[in-house]
Amino acid sequence: MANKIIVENLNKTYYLFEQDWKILQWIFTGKGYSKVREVLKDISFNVQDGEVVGLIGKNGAGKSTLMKIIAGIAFPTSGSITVKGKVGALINLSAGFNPDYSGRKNIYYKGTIMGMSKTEIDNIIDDIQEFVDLGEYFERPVRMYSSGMSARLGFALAVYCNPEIVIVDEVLAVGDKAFQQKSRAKVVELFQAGKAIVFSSHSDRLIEEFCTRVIYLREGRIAYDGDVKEGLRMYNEDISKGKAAVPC
Amino acid sequence: MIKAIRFVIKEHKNSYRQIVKMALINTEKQTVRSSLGILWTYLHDIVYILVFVMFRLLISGYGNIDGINSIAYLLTGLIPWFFISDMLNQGSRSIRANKGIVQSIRFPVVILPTIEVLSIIFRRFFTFFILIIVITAFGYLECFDILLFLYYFFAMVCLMISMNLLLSAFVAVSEDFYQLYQAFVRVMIYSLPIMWSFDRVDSVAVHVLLRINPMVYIIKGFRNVFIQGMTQDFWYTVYFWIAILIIFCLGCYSQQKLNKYYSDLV
Repeated sequence: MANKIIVENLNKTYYLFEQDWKILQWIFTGKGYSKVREVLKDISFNVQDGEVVGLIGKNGAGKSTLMKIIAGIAFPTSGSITVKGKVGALINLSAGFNPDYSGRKNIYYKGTIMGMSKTEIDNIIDDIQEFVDLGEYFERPVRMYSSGMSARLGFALAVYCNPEIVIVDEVLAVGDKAFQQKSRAKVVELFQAGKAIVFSSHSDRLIEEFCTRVIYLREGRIAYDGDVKEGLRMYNEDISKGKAAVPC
Repeated sequence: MIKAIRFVIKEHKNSYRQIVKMALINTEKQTVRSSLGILWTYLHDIVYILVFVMFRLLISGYGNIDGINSIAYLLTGLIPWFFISDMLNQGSRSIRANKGIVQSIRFPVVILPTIEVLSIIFRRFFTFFILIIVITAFGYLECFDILLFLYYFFAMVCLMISMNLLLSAFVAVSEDFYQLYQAFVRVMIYSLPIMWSFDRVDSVAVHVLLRINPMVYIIKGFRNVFIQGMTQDFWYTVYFWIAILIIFCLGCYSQQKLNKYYSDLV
C-alpha cells in the first residue's frame, strides 16, 4: 500500500484585515493585518490508497480548509503536504459552470478549467451523460437547472475525471433520493477500486457506512486519528459536554 | 524578485494550451446569448466612432490636427484605445470575476489576466480592418507598414499583460482600489493623444506628466503605422520598455506574493 497523501506538521494561518486596502499594504510591507487566526495547527497524517478517511469536527474546526489544501486550492502557511495523483475535488460542485452553456458544453468548459484535454473529456462525456441522467436538460443552458441538477453535473465531472484521490466535502446529500443512492454507489465503487477518499460529513450514519478510519479535528488540531467508532464516540462526547454545539 | 518572475513565466509555460483554449471559450462566452454574437462588439465600436466623429465635426469642423485630417487622427487613436480599454477593464477584473474558479478549482490563477488579454485579441481581431477601410476611404493610408504594425501590437500586448498582472492582483483583494482605478480609466481617454495633440500644451511639466503614461507611446505608435511622419523619438521608446519592465516586475511580485492567498482573500 502506497501513501497517497502525506501531511507533515502542517499549519494554516488566516490573516484577518480590518479593511481590504490594508491587504495592499501587507503585500509590500508585511504589516497591516489586525489579527491572525490559526485554523490548522501541527497536522500530520498519511492516507494510503484504498482508505476512506472521515473528517469530523464542529463547524470551524478546519475540515474544509484541510480539504481545500489537499485539493491544491489553498496553500499551507508552513509544513508540507505531498499529494500523489490526480485529485477529484467534490467541493462547491456548481462552481465554474457558465450558466449560459448547455450541460454538455459546461462539462467541456469546466474540464478545460481543470486542465483536461479535449480527448480526455470526449472519452468520459457519454458516461457522464448517462450518470447525471438529466434527459433533454443535458442540452439546455445550466441557468435553467435546479440547484440539485447543476450539483449533479459537478459531481459527475469530479468522479469521472479519473481521480486517484477523491475529496468529498459534505456533498453526498446532493440531488434527489435516487441520485443520492447513485452517487453513494459511485463513491463505494471508487473506494473498491482502491482510490483514497477523504470524506467530511456531519452525519454519523454516513461516516459509519463509508469510512475505514476517522480523523477528529478539534479547534484545528487532530484530537483523534483511528478507529471509526471510537472517533465518533469521542466527538459525540465532546458535543454533549459543550452545550453550544449542535448535535447532528 | 527573480523568483517571482520565474514563477509567473513557469506558470504560463506549463499551461499555455489551457490559456489559448480558455481564451477561445471566453470569447464565445460573451456572445452565446445574443443572436448577433460577436458582431455586437463591432457595432458598439461603430456607434462610438460615429459619435466621436460627429462631435469632432460639430465642435471644431473638418480641420487638421498636427497637420493631419482630424478624422483620420481621431480614428487612428481611437481604435487602439478600444483594445486598450477593453483589455484594462476585463483584465483587471479577471481574478475577481472568476472567484468561483479561484475558490473551488485547482487552477493557476496567474494566467487569468493573460487569458483575458488574449480573448480580447481574438474577439477584436477585425477592428483594425475597420480602421484600414476607413483610413483608405479618407485617402490617408500612405504607408501601412506591417512590421511596424506588428511591433506596436506586440508592445501593446506586452504592456497590457504586465499591467493586468499588477492590476488584477490589486483589484482582486481591494474593492477600494477597484473603484479608484475605474475612475482613473474613465478619464484616461482624455489624457491620451486621441482627440487632441499634446503639442497644444505649452507647459513642459504638464507635457512630461502626460507622457509618463506608457499608453501614449502605443497610441502615437499606431498613428505612425498608418500615417507618415509621426515617428517616435528614441528616448521615449527606451522609457517605454523600461516602464514595461518595471510594471512587469511589480506585477510578478504581487502575483507571487498573493498566489497562496487568493483562495482565502478573494
